[in-house]
Amino acid sequence: MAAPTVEKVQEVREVTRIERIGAHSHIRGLGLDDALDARNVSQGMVGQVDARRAAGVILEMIKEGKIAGRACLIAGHPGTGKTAIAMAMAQALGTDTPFTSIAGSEIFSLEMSKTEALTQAFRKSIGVRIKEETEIIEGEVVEIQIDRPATGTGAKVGKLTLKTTEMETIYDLGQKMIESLTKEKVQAGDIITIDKATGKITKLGRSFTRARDYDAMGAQTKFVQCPEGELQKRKEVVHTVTLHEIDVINSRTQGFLALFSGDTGEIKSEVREQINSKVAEWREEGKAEIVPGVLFVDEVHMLDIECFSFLNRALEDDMAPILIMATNRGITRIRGTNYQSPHGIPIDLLDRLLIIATTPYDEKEIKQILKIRCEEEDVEMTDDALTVLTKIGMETSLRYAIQLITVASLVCRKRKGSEVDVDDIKRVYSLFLDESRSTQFLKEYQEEFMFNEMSGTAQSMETS
Amino acid sequence: MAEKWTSQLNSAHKTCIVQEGRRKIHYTFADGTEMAEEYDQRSGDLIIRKWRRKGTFGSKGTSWDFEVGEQLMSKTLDPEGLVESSSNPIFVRKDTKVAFQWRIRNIPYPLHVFSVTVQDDNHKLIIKTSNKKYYKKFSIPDMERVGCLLTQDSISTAHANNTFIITVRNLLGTMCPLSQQKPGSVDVLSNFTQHKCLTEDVLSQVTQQVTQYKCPTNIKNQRKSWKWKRK
Repeated sequence: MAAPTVEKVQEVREVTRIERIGAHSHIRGLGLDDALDARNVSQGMVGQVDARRAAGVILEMIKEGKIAGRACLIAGHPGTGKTAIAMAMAQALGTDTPFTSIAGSEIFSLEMSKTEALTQAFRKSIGVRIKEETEIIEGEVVEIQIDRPATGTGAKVGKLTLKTTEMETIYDLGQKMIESLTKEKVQAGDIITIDKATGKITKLGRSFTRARDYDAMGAQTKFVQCPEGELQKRKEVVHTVTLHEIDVINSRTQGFLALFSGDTGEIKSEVREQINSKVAEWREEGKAEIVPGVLFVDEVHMLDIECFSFLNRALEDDMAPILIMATNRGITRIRGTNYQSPHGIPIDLLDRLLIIATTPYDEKEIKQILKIRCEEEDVEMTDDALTVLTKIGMETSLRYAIQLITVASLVCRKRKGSEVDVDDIKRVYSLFLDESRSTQFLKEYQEEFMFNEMSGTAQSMETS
Repeated sequence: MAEKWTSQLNSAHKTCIVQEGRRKIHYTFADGTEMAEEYDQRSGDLIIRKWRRKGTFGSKGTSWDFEVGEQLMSKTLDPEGLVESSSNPIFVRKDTKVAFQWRIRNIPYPLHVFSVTVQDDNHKLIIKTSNKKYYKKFSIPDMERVGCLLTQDSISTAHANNTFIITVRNLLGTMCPLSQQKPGSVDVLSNFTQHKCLTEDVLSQVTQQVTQYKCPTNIKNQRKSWKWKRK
């Protein structure tokens, strides 16, 4: 009986998601050792030893979870790994600590006031760990049967038979359940749990009674006893929700559906107050635990003076998360005023910040980063080509050099080569201008561009 | 325990309407939990009692939990999730005047396969089948609410027409200390006295509302106008 079922499951084509490669997808952590000293190359991070060590100290502070409302600023030149450090912190914190990442310009929306957007971001970064009772189905798979419609298209239907030592139940499966069952590679003889509310499937292992089905099996195959009693059980699970999620659930009649549609709108302050007092109550009763998370605001100089004064106030709240900001500006105008200030942040806020500085990379570090990116983007490159690319990175910018990796590999593939060579690099270097060469070009040929005939009047018009 | 339950019932916000030959009563308790009951108007039998509880985070519950009776609307298989197949046994509580009764339909095994025992310090009933096809552990919320225990000798079972029937004699009348206080004499509401050992003032409260809400005026008017049209 088991054999045909197994075949049926394997018939369905495996759906493996291909992850897209992002700018920081190679980062897996801060790369620190136990004494918080930064290893020079580790977990995708290279160089910036001091900044990483400082970030590690902040990380410890977050993990303690006792101190609220601290803020730190990562400042440095463009392309020196500010966002990378923030991403690494998020990775190091794990999935249970809320980490919200926004860009400074994100809060300017017509539908929501700036402070509302900031408040929501703040509340997204505070988790509440709470026990909740959920219904789960736990049993051994007796049979799983998936029927595809004869026409080839349309919804699949299926049946799943589960048993415990005492009983047996047949379930009808919907489309989504079939997909997740095939993704988890569930087959007859497995012991699984299904969370009834979310539909999440967890494989606990294989049943002892099936231990002799195969002669060979993976080392990680775990054998478990068939569960006893009823199939459906109520079980207490601990999970972390953010304050924002609780806000949304309580703010509207349609409840949590708004979370998925994203249309949350403004949330009334009364609702927030109610929830704060409710959470405080849970905390006192020992039902819940607050998990302060991290709010990361990239390009913080894009915030204006109102936001900064709001931040000043919000950081004093005892429910505030740790705020990490990043900027690449030097002394510049504070948005919304005519005053100049370091990093475009008012002095009173700067005074509350711990500032981490990042420094430009040296040649060896650039080479290392390019090597890591080559691996991440699945590009083979000769040593010479890498040296040339490093030189380009030193003279122009690291970002430009990183962008050349993929285009060079495409050029290489066009000439049917297997490894990116110096010639490929040279070719793409001549094809694509970097920022300084582009500026140079503009300076030389400025007159030939549009609207340049009346340069005198244009200049006078520009000032507004 | 019983006092706690009656005081809870007392303080609940109650609404009552009569519709389609059923007296429907809706309770909202202080913690936001809702309970709805439906009684047959002629016999006074409790047909449905269902609960809707609030989620942990204050969200309103979306589905009703049936304590007595069943949802008569056909279940549609939503294309996403997983639903118990209609070929499984269906477990429904359907009380009579003198006993609690459960019917497990769609279960074809002979009577000797089943065994019903009282377990968990006389709090819970367990149905077992010797062919390992069905197992259920459940309590009688009515007894639990007033703190009464179960006894093995009050249980009787039967099997006919693919249905397994468990009957538990209703001992609340004899065992509960509360019921010694003389319950209200309203005949239609005898179910209240049976099942929940209501104190007299709860009864009078409810009966008052029953008379008040006998039929919502708008429904009455609708019916009138409809009659007029026919004439």
